[in-house]
Amino acid sequence: MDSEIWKKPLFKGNPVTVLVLGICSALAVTVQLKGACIMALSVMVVTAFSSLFASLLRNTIPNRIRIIVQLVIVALFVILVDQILKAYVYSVSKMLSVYVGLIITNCIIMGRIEAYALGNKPLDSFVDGLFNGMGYGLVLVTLAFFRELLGSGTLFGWQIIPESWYAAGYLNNGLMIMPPMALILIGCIIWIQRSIQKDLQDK
Amino acid sequence: MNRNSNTYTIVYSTILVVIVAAVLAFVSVKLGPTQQANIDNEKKAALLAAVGVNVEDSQVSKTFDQVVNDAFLVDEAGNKVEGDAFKTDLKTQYDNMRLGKPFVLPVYECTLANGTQVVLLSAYGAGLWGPIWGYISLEKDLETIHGVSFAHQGETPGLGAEIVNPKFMAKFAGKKAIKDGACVFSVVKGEVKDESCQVDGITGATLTSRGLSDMIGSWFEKYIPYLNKCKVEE
Repeated sequence: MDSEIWKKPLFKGNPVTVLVLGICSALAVTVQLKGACIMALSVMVVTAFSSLFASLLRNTIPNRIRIIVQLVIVALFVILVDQILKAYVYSVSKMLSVYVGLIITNCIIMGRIEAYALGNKPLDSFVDGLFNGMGYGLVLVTLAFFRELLGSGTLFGWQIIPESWYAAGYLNNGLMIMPPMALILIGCIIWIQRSIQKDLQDK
Repeated sequence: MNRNSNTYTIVYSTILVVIVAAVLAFVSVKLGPTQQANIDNEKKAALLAAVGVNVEDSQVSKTFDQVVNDAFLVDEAGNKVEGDAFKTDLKTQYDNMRLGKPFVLPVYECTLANGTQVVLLSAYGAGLWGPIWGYISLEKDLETIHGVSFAHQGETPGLGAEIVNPKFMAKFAGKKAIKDGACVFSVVKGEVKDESCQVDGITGATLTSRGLSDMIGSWFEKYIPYLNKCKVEE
């Protein structure tokens, strides 16, 4: 297997920072690290398995209803993930609210099926889907790390900033909890990546 | 086989959808009870919060059984009727009230860890964007509010949704809800004239605050026949 399949989505071709897909949920669910991790895992499961199944069926899918078939496959996995979250991690499922259902609208998933899974072998497609989900998750977790640490002073709900800092006048940054700050942080990540990776810069 | 023929397309999509539907139906049936248990647990936690008991998720069911001595339904005349208070859907009762049909009201009698006895009542009404509901506990005198917990479906975050803020809900404790057999409690906009029975509403959420006030007022009125009966019995 070509190692580019799993290396590329993590950095050089990251779906969030390079392709700028899946921004909506990246802003919405990154207030806390726990939610972001669960969301990242959910998206990984959905991208990996829908790519796998789309690839398995790729030689049978009628071309005219190709997109609808992809949607049905993605919807199946999104509903499965949603049901499982509701049954086993109810509080997280409440926190993620509509965003689990909205995984289906995440362009990364349909994009990878259309661009990769329909023309490649199942195993390659599975890995491609999994690592594109991971590339998305990586950005999500990075964002959530800074937003929770600076916005609430906690990580995974555990107090990290010591009480003595607050006593000395330190304040949590309320802006970190608001969605606009997530957009600014994503902008910063894209900025850092573009200064490292010169070929992404516009001439 | 011609993958672009109409027959192939129709047969293919039918088979695919039937398989997917079967998988989803199976999962839904399998996970249904666990999901319902979570929803029940959340309701129990909300009921407990209204009597001032906050425990971890895993302890909710156990604590609920310890705190709640008796749960029953009363009708509009204040008589006990058959039925499961916990499973009674508040929305149905709310609709019945508005349509003038017979309705029932859930009552929970609770004893707290320190021996205090409270009566826990329910309420359901309209906020700005959707339903709001809540649980209100009364002290033993059946007039003073012991604690409340509210919930909403889709009020504006930062404005209407502030009704679930613990700081806001804490304002309700100790207020006089009922005086001489009538509801005197209200959530007011602007100036609080009577500290003993009024709570200051939320700035910027006038309609949600008004909905909350109406909800509490109208449900208390329905509960009054039952509360009066309790007082007579004592």
